[in-house]
Amino acid sequence: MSVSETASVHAGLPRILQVRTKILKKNDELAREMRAGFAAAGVRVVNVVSSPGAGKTELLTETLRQLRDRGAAVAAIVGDLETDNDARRLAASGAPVRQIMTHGLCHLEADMVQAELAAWEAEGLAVAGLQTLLIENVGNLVCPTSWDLGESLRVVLMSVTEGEDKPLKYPGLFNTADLVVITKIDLAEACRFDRAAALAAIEQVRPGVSVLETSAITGQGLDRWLAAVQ
Amino acid sequence: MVEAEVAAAGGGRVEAVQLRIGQLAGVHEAALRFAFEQAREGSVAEQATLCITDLPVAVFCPRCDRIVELPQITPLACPACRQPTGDIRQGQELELESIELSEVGT
Repeated sequence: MSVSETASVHAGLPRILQVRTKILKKNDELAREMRAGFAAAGVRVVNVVSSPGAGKTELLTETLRQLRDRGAAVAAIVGDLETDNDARRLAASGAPVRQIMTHGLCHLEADMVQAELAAWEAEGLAVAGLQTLLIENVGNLVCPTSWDLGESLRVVLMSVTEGEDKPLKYPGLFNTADLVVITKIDLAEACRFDRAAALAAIEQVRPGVSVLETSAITGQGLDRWLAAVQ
Repeated sequence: MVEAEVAAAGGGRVEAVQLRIGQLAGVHEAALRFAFEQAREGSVAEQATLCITDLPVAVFCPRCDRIVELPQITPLACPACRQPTGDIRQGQELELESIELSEVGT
């Protein structure tokens, strides 16, 4: 069909609207605003992402406990599809914790975090008075990639039990990491964990990124980790 | 998003929606097309074709001092000189590029 025939069918040439807009623009803009607010208030916000079972909750519970022992004002938000089990685990540290139940959504979005912060404020907790806010994302190595939560540090966890090539399987997410933490390092020997292979895989998808090794059980590596999130 | 853009442009029927999707955007084309089929029902884009421009990953190589496209997502290293580089210049896009409209009732 020629252009003129098309025109006669549609009684007028088709119009092209040039949009060139990011599809997640709304989230990006809110996250940018939130990041500016956190920075102005001096709140360090850490978005922790990993596969389910990599040890996010265990590490963050220990993190909250130790930072509180040091006198730091800390709090945490945790996302899961269902249950508030993780919030209860994290709250055992004594820190304020809020659970987001996503009911099927596989990641957290900036407005969900914003709503929890507002709920805290309504309860009398001054978010601007926090030193560190930990956000435990939904266990997922795909979708959290694209959703900025306004964090100042994005941490991707991988445990020694889940295979050294995880970064190669999920390059998109690992590529957005500001810091990679290898967890459950106390199990390294039992799992025949190949450290060199894991580091090489991380380097392939995020050249130059810092890598820490931790065990929330033995406390190995926690000093450097705490320094990174404080 | 498409409905808002079309309304802002004075309405019309959407003939095509053009997206730009980078290979690192975490979007699977078949899944996106499936979702689009569901989402367009009953909307101004009910008859619309979904056009997707797939953007390969491109990085800046500091050693070669130029932007190079990668044949695959990993390793993030210059395909010419093997220098690892995380300086991504293309491949993370998830953008609505354009909307093709015809007039309503024709």
